[in-house]
Amino acid sequence: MLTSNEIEALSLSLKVAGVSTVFLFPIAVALAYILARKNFWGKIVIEIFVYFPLVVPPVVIGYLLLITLSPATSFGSFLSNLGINPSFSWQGAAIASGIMAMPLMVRAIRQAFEAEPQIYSDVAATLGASPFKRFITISLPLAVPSLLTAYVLGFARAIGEFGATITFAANIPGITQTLPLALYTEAQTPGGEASALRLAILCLIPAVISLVISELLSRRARSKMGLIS
Amino acid sequence: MTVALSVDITWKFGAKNGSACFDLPEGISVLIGRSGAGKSTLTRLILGLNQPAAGIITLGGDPLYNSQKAENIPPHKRALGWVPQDAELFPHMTVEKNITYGVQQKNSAAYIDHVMDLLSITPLKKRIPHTLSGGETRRVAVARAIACKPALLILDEPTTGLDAITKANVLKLIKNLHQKTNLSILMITHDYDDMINVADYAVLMDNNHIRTAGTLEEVSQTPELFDTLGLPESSSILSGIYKKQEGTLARINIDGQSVFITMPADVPKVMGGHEIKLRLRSRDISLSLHPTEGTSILNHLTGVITAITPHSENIMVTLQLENSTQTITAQITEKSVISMQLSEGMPITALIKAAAVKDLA
Repeated sequence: MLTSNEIEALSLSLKVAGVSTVFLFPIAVALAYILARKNFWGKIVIEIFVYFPLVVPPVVIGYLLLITLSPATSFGSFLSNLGINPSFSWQGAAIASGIMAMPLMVRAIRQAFEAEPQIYSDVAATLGASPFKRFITISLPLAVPSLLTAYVLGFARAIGEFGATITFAANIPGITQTLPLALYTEAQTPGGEASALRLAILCLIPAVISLVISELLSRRARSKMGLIS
Repeated sequence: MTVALSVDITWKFGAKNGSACFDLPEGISVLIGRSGAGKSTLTRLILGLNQPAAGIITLGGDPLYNSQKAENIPPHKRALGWVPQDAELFPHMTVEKNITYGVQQKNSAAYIDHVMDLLSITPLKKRIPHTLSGGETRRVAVARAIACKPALLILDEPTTGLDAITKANVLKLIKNLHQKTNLSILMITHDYDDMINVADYAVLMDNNHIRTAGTLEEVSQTPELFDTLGLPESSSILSGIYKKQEGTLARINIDGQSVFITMPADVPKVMGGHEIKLRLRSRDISLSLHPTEGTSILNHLTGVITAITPHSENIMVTLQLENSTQTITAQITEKSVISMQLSEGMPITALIKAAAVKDLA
């Protein structure tokens, strides 16, 4: 049914999107919380950095990664000496898709924190909870439905990442050739139409499954809190 | 008096400037004012959720905020309990988790049980907040606040939006809570009935400033109170001792003078010798130059006029009762003041129908 090449692309895609979003998620939560709740000098710099990948062509992000992290640069050779060589590796694909998924995740989580009534946190403060305890026990659990949605959005974006990945990590079957890259290759190859269609369907399946799971979990969380009946 | 909370601060938020200076004694106090008077702002400043522009706040003598010494204790280190207006139970926790949220000590299970028992919420333990009724929600919020053993409990508009019976129950609960735990309570309200039913001490706020502060008896007679709250009439509050039941009347001793109030004999609300508070509406009090006989009016209180103040189309005459520090205020017409030739320092008799005196026990 599926060729070994297609199965490889699927498992690589899941690995790349899984690893990138798992590492990205806590960073996105922290960034979203800071952007939603704190006011400080230089906040705009963080905002621009976070939302940059949303407005810049993905290929530019990939190119920027390439010129900053390739072994030819001083930072890249420093990483290379440590045994870390992100360009042309699956880790590079994960970095590229993580950066591309970041703005979506941060935006969704930030909106959740901004919409959350501050008063629960205030009450918790009068009950002796430190700012850290308030974040862990109040802000975070109340945001769970939105956090799930944000994670799924990010995951779906990471699965679909193309431009930055192909530029930074290249299109190497079995190493960096994720589903969209394999689809692109098959679509360019004479006689690859059937394979291209199967790959297109494979791209859709994880997206649909994750949307359904997140909707179910988020409904359960919201009904438990009495937000929907 | 032992001071529970002392506030002397100014604040500025946007175009709004405010100030507050008062000392709250231990017991039940009320911060009263109309909506938008600045009560919530002041509450948040006391709690440490917002910062004043300058000044000092102390709780039981310990500093919470001092602008000169750059001291500002964060809200989670202030021994203040807070029940916000809409209770704001954490929606993702059970009733029990809500109540124990702020409890630090390990061995407090017995105390928590006692608190839940006191507020009759033990059966609700495992419930989720959105399944509770309005009254239950407020009781859980009170339990959550007092479980941390605060030095002062702040209740924000605890009776707003409740029906008359639930409201009466909440007020009874507040008094009961103070009696059983000796906890000092500051209740924020815009409701005159709330104030006269529970308060020992009152602070009147208007337009982001404190208008007056004092005992319930003092504040209830000030014209500022009914001006600020837009009340149609002023009242005096008298403290007395319940003596005995005489048919459908109860005899109350006010510093040596007797006052009769109607009280059904089969409902003895208070035991003999207990303190009782009476509310007398100013418009229900008539004045006479001499003790009178041959009248249906049962209550004749003698005293001396201490103030005569015009108020809109009427005159407010305040008299200090004989051998007492307590005062009452009568609302009479200018024509009567002139024809009786009333003046400060004059001995006078106040006449009040028994049916017009309301007990606040």
